[in-house]
Amino acid sequence: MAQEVYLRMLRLERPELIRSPEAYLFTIAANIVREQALKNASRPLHLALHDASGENISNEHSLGSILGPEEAALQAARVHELEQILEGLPPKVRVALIWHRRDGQTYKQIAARLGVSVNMIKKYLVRGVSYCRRRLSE
Amino acid sequence: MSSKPLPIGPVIIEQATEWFMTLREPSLSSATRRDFAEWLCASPQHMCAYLQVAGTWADLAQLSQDLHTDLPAGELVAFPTRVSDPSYPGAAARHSNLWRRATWAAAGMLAVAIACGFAWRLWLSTYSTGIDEQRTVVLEDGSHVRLNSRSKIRVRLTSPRREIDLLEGQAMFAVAQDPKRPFIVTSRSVTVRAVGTAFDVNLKATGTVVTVLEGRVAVEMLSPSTGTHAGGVASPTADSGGHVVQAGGSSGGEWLVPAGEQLAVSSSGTVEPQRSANVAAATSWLQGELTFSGQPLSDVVEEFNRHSRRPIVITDSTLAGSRISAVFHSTNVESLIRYLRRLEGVDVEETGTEIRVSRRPPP
Repeated sequence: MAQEVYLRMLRLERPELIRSPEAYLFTIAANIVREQALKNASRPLHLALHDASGENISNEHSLGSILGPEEAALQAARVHELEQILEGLPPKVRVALIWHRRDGQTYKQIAARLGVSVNMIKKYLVRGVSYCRRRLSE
Repeated sequence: MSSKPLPIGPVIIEQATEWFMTLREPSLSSATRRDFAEWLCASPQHMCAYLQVAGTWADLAQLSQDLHTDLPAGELVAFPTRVSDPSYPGAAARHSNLWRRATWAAAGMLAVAIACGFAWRLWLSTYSTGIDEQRTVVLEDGSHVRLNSRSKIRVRLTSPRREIDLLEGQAMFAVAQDPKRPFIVTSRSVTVRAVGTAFDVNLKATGTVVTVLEGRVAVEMLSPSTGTHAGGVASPTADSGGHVVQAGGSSGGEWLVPAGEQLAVSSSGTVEPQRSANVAAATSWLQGELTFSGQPLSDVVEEFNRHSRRPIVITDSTLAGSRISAVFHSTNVESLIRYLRRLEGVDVEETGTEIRVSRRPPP
């Protein structure tokens, strides 16, 4: 199924029209799951998924149970790991990320608080997120 | 949670994050969108990195309220009072968005899971089918490959050529036109070269059968000892006059097979253009049928065994060589068994693990 997502994306005539690629890719995945479910109506749905860290997050997931307690616990663990990783960032980058993502502050508000330009906030966020992502992949 | 199936380099992660943040900006030019789409589709690693960033982005919204946000003295320039104001839009939005965020967090993770699983599969680029399963694989170049059951291919698409190894079973190829990148299928010691055409390759125990549906292909034998090309390379565009012809003249060289023709290459390297090629029969598996006209029973059984969990075993060599003409449903092994039971002097014995076909001893 996974390759289907990429292939369906490649087959799009004008992929630049997609507003939210991650939402779009998720929709493709959901459609494929539904198509397969219809095809194999008599068989239980089996999806072996692996999260970014190679852990098996689901063995027998129907689409509806993805938000179950198991996933919530995994997310809590990932968030906790992120909180530790954030400590390795320069102070301004770290607070910009927290203020923007946790507290929903705009670039402008954060720029005013930190006394830097709005453009600089974007740079901070790119730096912060890619640092987190890199550390999570280690 | 530390072993990673697919390491993605820091440069790609950085690019992915840049794009991710850029796409969150309110007004984007169509040129920027095009550039992004190009970047995203360029490699499954890009897609994977992008979705990983999206997942982390979603997780960051769940950071604990207890996290300190102290800055070293002198770093904080201004602290606007409205942040503590309950009417501050961020605070209200946060609450009502909680569910949506949780959903997106999960969506992000699923997408990451899918992308990473995929990227890993692409890295290996092997596609296979199980018993009684057929599937179509659309390659990156637009070519379609239909895999018969219990079949396996490995795909390597590079800029000078498109290479597919048929490792097991049978596949039908509908090749996308690209004169600059020949499409080469290798089945054990046989290579089939096409530019834009449709053909079927069947890797059997006894050898390889190539059936051409459209256009023309060049079939070349690899020297079994060295694995290198044994014959001279001829152009597949040379006129063949509608028949299978051998190019170059040297033994073990190249054969040109036009549409509607079939070429069988045995494991020992013997080449046999099939006099009465039946394209419809060779590709009837696409419709879930198995068509035989005068083929040895061993061939029939081999085709059936691709679709059956319980293999059919023929215990007698003269029986294996007896000729069969019939059309069967590929999913219906019972129909073959019933057919065999009706034959004179044939015994069929079913056990839990196999179906044994033997010659009945004369009374």
